[in-house]
Amino acid sequence: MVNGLMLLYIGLFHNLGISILVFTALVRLATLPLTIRQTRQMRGMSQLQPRLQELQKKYAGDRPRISQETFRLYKEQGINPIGCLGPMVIQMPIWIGLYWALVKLLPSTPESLAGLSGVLYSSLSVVHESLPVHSRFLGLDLALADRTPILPLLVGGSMWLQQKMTTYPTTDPRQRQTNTLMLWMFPLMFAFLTFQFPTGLALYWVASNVIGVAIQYKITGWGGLRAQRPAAEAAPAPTPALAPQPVEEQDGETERGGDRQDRRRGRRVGQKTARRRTRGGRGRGH
Amino acid sequence: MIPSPRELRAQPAPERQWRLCPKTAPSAWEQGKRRPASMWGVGIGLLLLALFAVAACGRPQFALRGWSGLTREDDLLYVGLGEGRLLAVSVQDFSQAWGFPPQGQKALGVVYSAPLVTRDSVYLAVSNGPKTGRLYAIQKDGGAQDWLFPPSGFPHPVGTLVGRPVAAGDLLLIGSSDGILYALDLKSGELRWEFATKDKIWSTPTVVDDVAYFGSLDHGVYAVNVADGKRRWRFQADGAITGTPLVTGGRVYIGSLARTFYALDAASGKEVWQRPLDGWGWADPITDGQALYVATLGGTLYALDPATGKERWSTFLRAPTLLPPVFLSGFLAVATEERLVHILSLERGVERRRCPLDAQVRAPMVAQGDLVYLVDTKQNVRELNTRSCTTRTLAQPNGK
Repeated sequence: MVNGLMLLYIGLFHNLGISILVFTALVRLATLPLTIRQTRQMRGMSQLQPRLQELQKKYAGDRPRISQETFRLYKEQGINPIGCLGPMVIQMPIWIGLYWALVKLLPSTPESLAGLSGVLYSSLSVVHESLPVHSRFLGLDLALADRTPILPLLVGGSMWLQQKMTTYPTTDPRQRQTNTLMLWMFPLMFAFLTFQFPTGLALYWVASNVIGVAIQYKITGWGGLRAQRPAAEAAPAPTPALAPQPVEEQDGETERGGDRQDRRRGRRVGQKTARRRTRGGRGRGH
Repeated sequence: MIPSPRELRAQPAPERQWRLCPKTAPSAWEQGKRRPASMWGVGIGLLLLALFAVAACGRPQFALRGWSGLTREDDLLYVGLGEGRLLAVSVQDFSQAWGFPPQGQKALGVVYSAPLVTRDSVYLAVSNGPKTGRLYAIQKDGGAQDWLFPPSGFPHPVGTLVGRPVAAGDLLLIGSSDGILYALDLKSGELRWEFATKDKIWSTPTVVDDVAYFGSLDHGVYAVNVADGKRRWRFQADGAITGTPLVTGGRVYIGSLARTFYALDAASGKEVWQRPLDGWGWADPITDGQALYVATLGGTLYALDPATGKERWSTFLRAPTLLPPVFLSGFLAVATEERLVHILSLERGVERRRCPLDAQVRAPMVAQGDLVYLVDTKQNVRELNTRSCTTRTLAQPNGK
């Protein structure tokens, strides 16, 4: 990665900031198929909310059964419940690699500069001639951590936005708790870490999040950012009848095969009521 | 028919069939009071752990470490320990004459260069932060501080000091990581002039005939008048310059990080010849008047003809070397990153013996006859007998 970054640096006007941005775009391009797949899965999860809600009602109080049925449903639909973590897990080795590449490429001490000689390809003379790498970009020193709150806010904010777009309201309290955790914990954590890590890495995070937001918008629109209620209320999907319909809700104008029995039951109830009234009336008439 | 929730609850849970003692109360999980450990939580926890591990590992990379240096004058070794102390140690009985700062006081910072010793004082360059440096003038007799640069109220902080201070008449010259060559009054430490380059100066200036020659990481080799700090010439090399130029016979010899070695005309700065090296020309070139000796980070020691640059011999040492070789009686001693000191013949570079050490040596060594004085990366000051490859410890960390 060190040599790759160096080649980008040499090709992009000896500007490390632009090199990091281009590197970010290349990484997101390489992981685009995975990102699209995961995004679609998460959208599928949101569309399952009505059925999940029914499971909650059907097996209310029986948490093991709910979990079992939930995972069975996910499996049937081909949805991975930890799909949202996929892109992040994939990017972890990239973050770590980029971190070490920046540490080696932007040495602040003589020993670290000397150590760079063993890392660079000896066949590329242009790489050795381009040292040392200039670390200034837009007033920032990419080798050092940013002590102002600007970059941490950008990192945390962009990450929150991306998380929010991929998080859909849910009726499952456990899922809701996890969503809240993911929505707030990771952005806060990364914002804090931005104070510790080189600014170059923070620049990568911001760029990666912005590209992620753009991809998300292209696939699902604003997604969870606009969703106010659980999807079950917003767009109920047709469901099979799981329990007898209550009598009061019957609609006499539409007649479906499954409702005939219920209407017969309703007539019988009505007759019982009528009989009771008649009995009481006759008795009291004397 | 689909069972009702009440009927489902009445059914035995699969786990209960495995219980050995039927009287055991249902677990909190079965009672619905507690949720089982979520794989989400485990995944998140692992991610957190990984990120914090990276953060923790990251800190030492930005910390200065230093690699010390020593200067011998008469029977005393003046050692600038990398941890930020100056010791005056007798080579006769290994006793410590004095130390600065005194024992019990906090160390000064990180030292990358050997101290400068003049008639009355010892000067030590220290980096006391990732971006700042200080120069201390210490009385030779007793170890008390004379002055400090920069003084309080100096208009701007001085960058880290990696190169060694050099005396030029009544001036002291030192390059800084802020790209400035400072000229100070030797007695008072007052700033006389500054000369700015475009990148860090880690090179030690060489002063010949009132002209200071030095290199910078901006790929430039400079010649500057000592009297007023005016530039005489600048040579643009292919790579960054970290070493101390060798000025002899009207020529300036220096290696660069672009794996090229240059010979320049001292008066005009014009290139006389250049030749490729197998690795970075980090270390200072040296000469015995017959040949130039250049060690590289590629692991090769070259002997070059000073007039033409032609290779007389070269020896592959298999490991990088950050410091120049030193002359022994008819031999050369060169230390590599492999924790070895190679003893080579001057005529053909044939290796006579190899002396193992228990730590690397990165600071320039000092030779006296067959003895070599060095400071290793564990901050031990040692005397190496190059005939028998035995070592004696003169001083240890914390000034012991």
